[in-house]
Amino acid sequence: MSWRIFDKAFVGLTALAVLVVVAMIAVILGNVVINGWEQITWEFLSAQPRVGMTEGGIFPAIFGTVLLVLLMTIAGVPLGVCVAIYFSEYANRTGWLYRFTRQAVNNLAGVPSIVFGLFGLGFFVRFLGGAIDNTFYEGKLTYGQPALIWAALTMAVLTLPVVIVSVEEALRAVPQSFRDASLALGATRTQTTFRVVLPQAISGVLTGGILAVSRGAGEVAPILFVGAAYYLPHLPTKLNDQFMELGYHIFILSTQSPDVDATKPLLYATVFVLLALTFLLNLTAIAVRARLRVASGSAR
Amino acid sequence: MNQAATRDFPLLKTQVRETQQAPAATGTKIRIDGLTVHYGKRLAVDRVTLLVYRNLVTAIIGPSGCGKSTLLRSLNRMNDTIPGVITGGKVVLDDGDIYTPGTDLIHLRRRVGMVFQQPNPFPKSIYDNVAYGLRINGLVGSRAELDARVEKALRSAALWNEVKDRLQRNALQLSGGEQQRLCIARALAVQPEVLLMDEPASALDPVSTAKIEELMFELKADYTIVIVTHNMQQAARVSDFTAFMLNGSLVEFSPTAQLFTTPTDARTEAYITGRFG
Repeated sequence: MSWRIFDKAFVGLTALAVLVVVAMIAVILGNVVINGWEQITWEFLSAQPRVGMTEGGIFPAIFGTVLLVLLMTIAGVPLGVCVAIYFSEYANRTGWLYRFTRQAVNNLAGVPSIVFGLFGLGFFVRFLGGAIDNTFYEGKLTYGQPALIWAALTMAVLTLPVVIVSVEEALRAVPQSFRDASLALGATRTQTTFRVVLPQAISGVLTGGILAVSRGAGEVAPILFVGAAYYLPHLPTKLNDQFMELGYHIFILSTQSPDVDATKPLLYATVFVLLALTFLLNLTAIAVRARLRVASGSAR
Repeated sequence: MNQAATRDFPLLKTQVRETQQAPAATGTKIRIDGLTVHYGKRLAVDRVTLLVYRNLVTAIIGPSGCGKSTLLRSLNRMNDTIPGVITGGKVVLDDGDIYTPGTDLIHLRRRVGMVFQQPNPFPKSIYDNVAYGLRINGLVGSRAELDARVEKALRSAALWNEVKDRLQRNALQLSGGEQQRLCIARALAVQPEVLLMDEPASALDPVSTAKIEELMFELKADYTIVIVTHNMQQAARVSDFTAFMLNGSLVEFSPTAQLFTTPTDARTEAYITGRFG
């Protein structure tokens, strides 16, 4: 009898937990949408900030974010996919080398993002950038300072474990029997990977890539030291330019503004835009997956 | 099964069509010599020596886990794909030991094709499935030649008439039996010399099974076939020679008619009369 009561209570408890989570999401989203929606005008999306960021728009921050995400994707996703292919298709999974590198990737995923920022500053900006300046620019400060390229690379390193893990999972989900069939026909491992495994896993690979990117798009900590700027009168045009970024812009609006009350509506609207961009990326991932599933006609 | 002369197998309680008086061994295709396979520390195949004769069907029977599939997969070195597998001894195909270091696995697997237990067509069109081996090996020069080879393979697998109007349809829409015959066609397309079949009918219904068995009679003319099966009636129906394995060792290897009527080893008799396994 008491077990039956316990059962009911436990079901109620788990349902309550779900309710709490849903309520939190509703409060966050509702608050942002209600307060931010009104502020979204064409001017807000297309203009520069003005009057100490209490007026005007956020176009440079949107532009910088999109550019950053793009460069980060180009730098990180192909590398991550290659590592995942190696792990899933070539590595001897019982060997110590695989276990060691696999563990390294897992640990990389657990490193706090601010540490990646410091790593970016130390390795990319100071070491790599400094070396480039000394070698090609006679010591003149060109790449040895915070810049778009270094921020993109730092973000690429940050998202790398996410890409690797999700792509590897997608590749592993392809049944071994397909690989066996291909190998038994005299295909090489690489032919098998490209003609059988990747086409089967492509929706998972793309989804993993996009989700990693959308995670990276919301990160602020790693780019604090390596390229994000408080305010810039010009859009970035070169790889060694600094840039404005939505997440960082939110941080500035909420902590560095000379007039907090005046920036509040802008802050809500900026958060709204950042959330919208992230959701858009996630929606793209879902759409891509659905489309490819239909196209391949596979049961999975 | 058909109207040809049948032979009684009293021990098996089944009748089997008389294929030929005594299988005329026309020469050795594969000589397995002292083959040993370890999965890590576990011994899966223990010093097996047997001959696979050209243009005949050799069946390997035995209870689950006796090493028969491992033995089969060692004939095209598919065990190499499993980490931790160590193979010792020789497998001589025609004149060359396939375990000689430096053996070209791609070439080997083109000569020794394989059909698996579960039908595993690629989630591609019927046509692309059959064309796969030809394309990756660069075996054909023109589209017309490819078309011809695909048709020939599908005809050899007795599937052409069923699928000729829907070659571009996804292979996963075929029934299980059709999928397995498609896999046979896919293996035949690269024109192997030997066809390995790992319990090819165990996932199929009786009608599809009968079709596959029928097919094996026809394929024998052009190919050397090695089939692993846990179905003794099937081994008796389709094979000329049968090897019985137990716990990784070869217990008995004889002409099929002899093994199923007058087995020399007591364990073989116990197994085929259903006393264990």
